[in-house]
This record gives sequence, structure tokens and C-alpha cells, in this order.
Amino acid sequence: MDTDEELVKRALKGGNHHYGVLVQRYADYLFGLGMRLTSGNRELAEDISQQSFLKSYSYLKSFDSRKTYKYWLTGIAVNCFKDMIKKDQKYTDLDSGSEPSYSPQLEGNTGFFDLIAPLTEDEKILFTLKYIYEYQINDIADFLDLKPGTVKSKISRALEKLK
Amino acid sequence: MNSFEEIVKQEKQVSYAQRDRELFSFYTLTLIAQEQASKKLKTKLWACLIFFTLGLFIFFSPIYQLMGDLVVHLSTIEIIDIFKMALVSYGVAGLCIVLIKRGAVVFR
Repeated sequence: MDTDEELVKRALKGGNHHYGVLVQRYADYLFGLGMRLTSGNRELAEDISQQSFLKSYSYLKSFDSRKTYKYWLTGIAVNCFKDMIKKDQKYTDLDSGSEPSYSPQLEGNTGFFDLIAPLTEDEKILFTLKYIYEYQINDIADFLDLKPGTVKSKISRALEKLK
Repeated sequence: MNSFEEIVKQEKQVSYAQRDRELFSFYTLTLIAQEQASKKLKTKLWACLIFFTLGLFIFFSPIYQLMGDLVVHLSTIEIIDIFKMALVSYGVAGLCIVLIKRGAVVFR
């Protein structure tokens, strides 16, 4: 089986089908991450995973092979989610409690979504990356362009809320 | 009520899957191809615009010279020079048109 790095190199040489292999390989992973970040909103999760792959392809030249493709993709997906909640009125409508412009179909482990419900979107990202995906504080700080100390304090604030 | 650790442990075991991974992959690659085609088209349009502007400049330069000469040096117009310049200008413009029509070589 070809490694991610090999596929990235081949895709850069002009083979879209090589990138297709990467899409297939990480489609479910990104979808899962999207589902967790959006508290089970399938449509938004699909949007996040698709946008992440599109962005990843656009910036494929800047992929740093010292880190894994999955790690890089995770960072892109998290930032796609952040962009989406900034731009997408549909999503903020849901959060603010005003009447949503459409009815999302929420799926997945409702216990987890109920648990993280009191958290802000930023805290949901931090909590999910730390406790579900078990990323290190430094990695999370890298994804979100924050200082490790800030990440730590935000996570402890989130945990306080959940107690 | 489940404890915090228990809920997190349960969530870790949940695996989410796209409805149709093949279709998702195909659609994503189609979007990528579409974006690439759009970028290529934009490049071509810019190239066309530059050629068109250059063409216009070449086409109309003899007219400006003629008009200038008519106004400033009405009595000393060098008709031969104007015809020479027009010939060269139209020649270059014609060459550009031929290249654009055969396009592939220029724009690829």
C-alpha cells in the first residue's frame, strides 16, 4: 500500500487519481471529526470534510512531510470548521436559539453531544481533539495557532464547565 | 447518568462513516477538476485580454500617427512611412490571430 507521502508526491506531479486514494482513505476520519465538532450534524460534517479536501488539494505544495498527512488534514478540517461557524448563518442560528433556517438531521452518540453542549465552539474543538483524538497540547496549539498555555487554560475552563 | 470518562470512552468507540465513500470521493475530485479548469480558463482569458489590448494598440497606432501628423504637420505627411508602419502592425496582428487560432501551442 502506498504511503500518504508518496501519494501526495504523485498527486503533485499531476495525478488527481492519486489524490483520490487519499480522499477515500481519510473520508470517514474527517467525517467523524466533523460529526463530533458539529454535534452530529451530518450535512455540516460532510461540508467540512469536503472543504477540507478541497483546501488540502489547493495547498498540497505546502504540505510539510515532517508531519503526517492525517495531522495536516486535521488542522485544515478544524480551521474549516472555525471558518464555517464564522460564515455560516445556518449554524450560528442553531446555536443562538433563534429559529433555524433549516432542520438539521442530528445523528450519532447523543450522550457525547449532550456532554459537550454547554461548551462554546472553540471549547468543543479543544475538548474533542484532546479527549477523543488524544492530541497533545502542543499539537492542538499548532492546529489553532494558539500558545500551548492558552490551550491548557481553555481546556481546564471547559472541564470546569462540564463538572 | 454516565460519568464523563464513560461517555468519552463510548464516543471513542463510535465510528462514523460517509453515506457513500466512492460517491463522495468522485464528487470531491470532480470539484477539484472543476476548480482547476476554472483557473486555466482565467489564465487563458487574461492572456486573451493582453493579446487583444496589444492588438488594439498595434491596429490603431497608425491611425493615431496619421491624426497627429494631420494636426501638427499637415504639410509634411510621410505617407510611405505610415503605410510601412501599417503593414508591419497588421502583419504582427495577423500573426497573433493565427497563433491564437492554432492556440494550443501558445496557451498550453
